[in-house]
Amino acid sequence: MVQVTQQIRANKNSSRNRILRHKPAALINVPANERLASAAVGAGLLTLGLLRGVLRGAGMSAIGGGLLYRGLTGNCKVYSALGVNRARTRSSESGVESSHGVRVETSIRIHCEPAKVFEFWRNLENLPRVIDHLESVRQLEGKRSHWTAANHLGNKIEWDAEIITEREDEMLAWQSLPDSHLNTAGSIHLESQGGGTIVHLSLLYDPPGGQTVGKIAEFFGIGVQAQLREGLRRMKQLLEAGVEPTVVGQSRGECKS
Amino acid sequence: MRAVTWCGSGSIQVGWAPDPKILNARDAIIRVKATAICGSDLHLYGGCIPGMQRGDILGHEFMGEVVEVGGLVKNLAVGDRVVVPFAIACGNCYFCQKGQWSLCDNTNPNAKILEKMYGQSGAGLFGYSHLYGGYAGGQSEFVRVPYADIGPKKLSPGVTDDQAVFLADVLPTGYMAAENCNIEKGDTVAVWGCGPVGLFAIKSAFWLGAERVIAIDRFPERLRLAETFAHAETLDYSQENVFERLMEITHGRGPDSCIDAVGMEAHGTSLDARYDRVKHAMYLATDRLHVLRQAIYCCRKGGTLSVPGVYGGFLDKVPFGAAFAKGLRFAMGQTHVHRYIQPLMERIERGEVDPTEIVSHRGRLDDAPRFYQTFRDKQENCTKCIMHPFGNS
Repeated sequence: MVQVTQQIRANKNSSRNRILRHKPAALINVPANERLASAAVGAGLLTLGLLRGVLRGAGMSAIGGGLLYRGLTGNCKVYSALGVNRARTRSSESGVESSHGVRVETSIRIHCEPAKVFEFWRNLENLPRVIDHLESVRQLEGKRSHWTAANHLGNKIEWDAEIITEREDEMLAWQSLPDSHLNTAGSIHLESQGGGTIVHLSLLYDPPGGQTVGKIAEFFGIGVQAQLREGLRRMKQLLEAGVEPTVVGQSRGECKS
Repeated sequence: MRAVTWCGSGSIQVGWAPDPKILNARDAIIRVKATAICGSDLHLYGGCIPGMQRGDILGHEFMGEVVEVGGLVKNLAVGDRVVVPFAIACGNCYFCQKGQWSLCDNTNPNAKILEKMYGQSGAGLFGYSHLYGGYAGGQSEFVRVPYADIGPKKLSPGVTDDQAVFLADVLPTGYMAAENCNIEKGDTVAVWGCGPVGLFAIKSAFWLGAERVIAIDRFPERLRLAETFAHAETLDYSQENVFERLMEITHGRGPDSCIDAVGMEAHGTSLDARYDRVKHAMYLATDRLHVLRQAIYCCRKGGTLSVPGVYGGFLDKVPFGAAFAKGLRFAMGQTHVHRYIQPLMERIERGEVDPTEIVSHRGRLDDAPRFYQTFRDKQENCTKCIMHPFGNS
C-alpha cells in the first residue's frame, strides 16, 4: 500500500528529485496573518475561560491556550499531523514549490511488457479513459498538452503541461506550465520484473482550496491518491485484458412495487 | 426478454427486461436453455449479501446457445452449445495464468468497493451483487457473457442441457471442495450439508480415494440422497450428537477432512447456534457459523477443513485456538470452475455421475418466485430447481 508522504526518497535519479524535491518539515507552519488571529482569539478564550473558573471554564481555557501557543510559536500540531505547511509562499514558477502542495504516490504491477505501458501513457489523451476526474487531455505542439479535470463538486479546472523528461519504456515526467490554474508535476517510472512491469506513479499538486483541504481529502480516501490508484487499476485491466470490465448499458429487470 | 429479478430481501419477481447487447469486443450473447437456482442464490434472496440493487437480474448457473459474439471472440460461433462458469475470468492476469480463475484481477468493475471490505477483490460474478461487479445473471432468456473467449465451454453432444447446467457451479464446487482436502486412500471425510454441493463433494471424495464419507444434515430427503445418490453414511444432527458420533466412527481420531458445504446461514440446535440466530436477526452479525465451529472441533489433528459454503463477513467466536492447537489446514474460496468443466464433463459422459438425479423441480422462468420460496423453506423435498426459459426442448 502506498501512502501520502512528505519524505524524500533517497537515491532517485536527478530528474525525479527535481520534481519531487522536499525539505524537512519546518517548525513554523502557520502563516503570519493566521498566527496573529490565532494568538488574539486564543488569548481572549483563555481569559474568558479563566474567569469562568477552573472547572466550568476548563475546556475554553484549554482551547484558548492551544490557539495562543499556535499563534506565538507559529507551529500547528494539526498542520504537522497532516503534513501541511502554510507558512511558505506560492511560487510563480512552473511545477510545484518544494514543501508546497500534496504529494501522492502509488504503484501497480501489470502483467505486460513496459513498452506497452509506456505507449499507453505517452499518448496522454488515453489518460481520461482510466482516470475518473480527468475530463480530457489534448496533445498540443511539441511536448505540450492541455488538461481539463473536474472535482467531486463538478467544478472544472484547466491547465497546460509539458513533458520535461522522457526515456522510452522507462520513465516520463511532466509538469504544469507557469501561470497555470493548477500547479502540478508528475512522473511514471517503469520497472521490468518477471515478464511484467511495475509502474510507479508520483504526483505533486497544489490542491484547489489549499493544502489543508487537499490533505484532509487524502486522509478520507477521496483525494487524488484514491483516484490515481483506481486509474492505474483500470489501465492494468485494459492493458492485460484488452477491454475494460463494464456493466454500463446492460439489461436490468423491473420491479413492481 | 423475461428475467428473474431481485426486488429486495425476500422478493423475487419475473418481469420484462431489455434484451442484452454486446458491450465490448470480448462479449457474447447466450440464449439460455437451462438455468438453475443455487443454494448461494438463497443468501441473496434472504438479504444476507450486501450490494444488491432492486432490478438486478439473478442467476449464475446457466447454459445455452451462442447467438452473438463480439469481434475478439474467435473461439465461439453462433449456434455453439455452451456452459458458462459462474465466475468471470479474463484469462490474462497473474491469477488466471496460475489457473486461479475465480481470483481474476480484471473482471470486477467494482473492485475498489470489494477491496475496501476484503483488502483485494476477486473475479466478477454473474448475478451476485454489485460488490462482485453487478453483472446481470442468467436466470433470463438471454444473457451477456463478458470475456466469452475464456469462460464458455462447448459441450459434448453426450451431455444433456440439464446435466450441463451443473457444470456452471455446483458440480465443480463440490469437486474442488473434495480436492482441497488432499484426500489419501482410506481417509474418512465428514461433509456438513447435503445440498447439491455437499452431495457432489461426497461423490468427489470417493473418486479421490476416501474410504468412508459421513454426510451430516437434518432433512430426511437430503440424507436419503446422500445415501442413495452419493453412497455416504448419514448422520442426522437433530437426532444425534455430531461430535460423539464422528469420534465413534473414527475411533476417537476425528475425520481426516471436514467439508463445510453450508456456509453463512447455518442452522443448529446447540447453544451457539441459537446465539448466532439472535445476533444475526438483530443485524449484529453477518454470518451464522455453527457448522464451521463444529467442523473445527471435530476434525482430526493435522486434518483439512475445506469450505465451499459461502461466508461474507466477520466471524464471531471462531474456535481458532482449537484450529491452531490441532494444526488444521484451511482451504476455501470461490471455485475455479474453468479448471474442472472438461474433466467433469467427461465423467458425466462416462456415466460416473448423472447430476440430474438430484433435480427435484423443473419449470419455466415464471416459476422462479415459487421455486425460490420452496427451495429456501425446504418444502416439497426440494433439492434443486432447474428452469427452461424456452421450455424443455
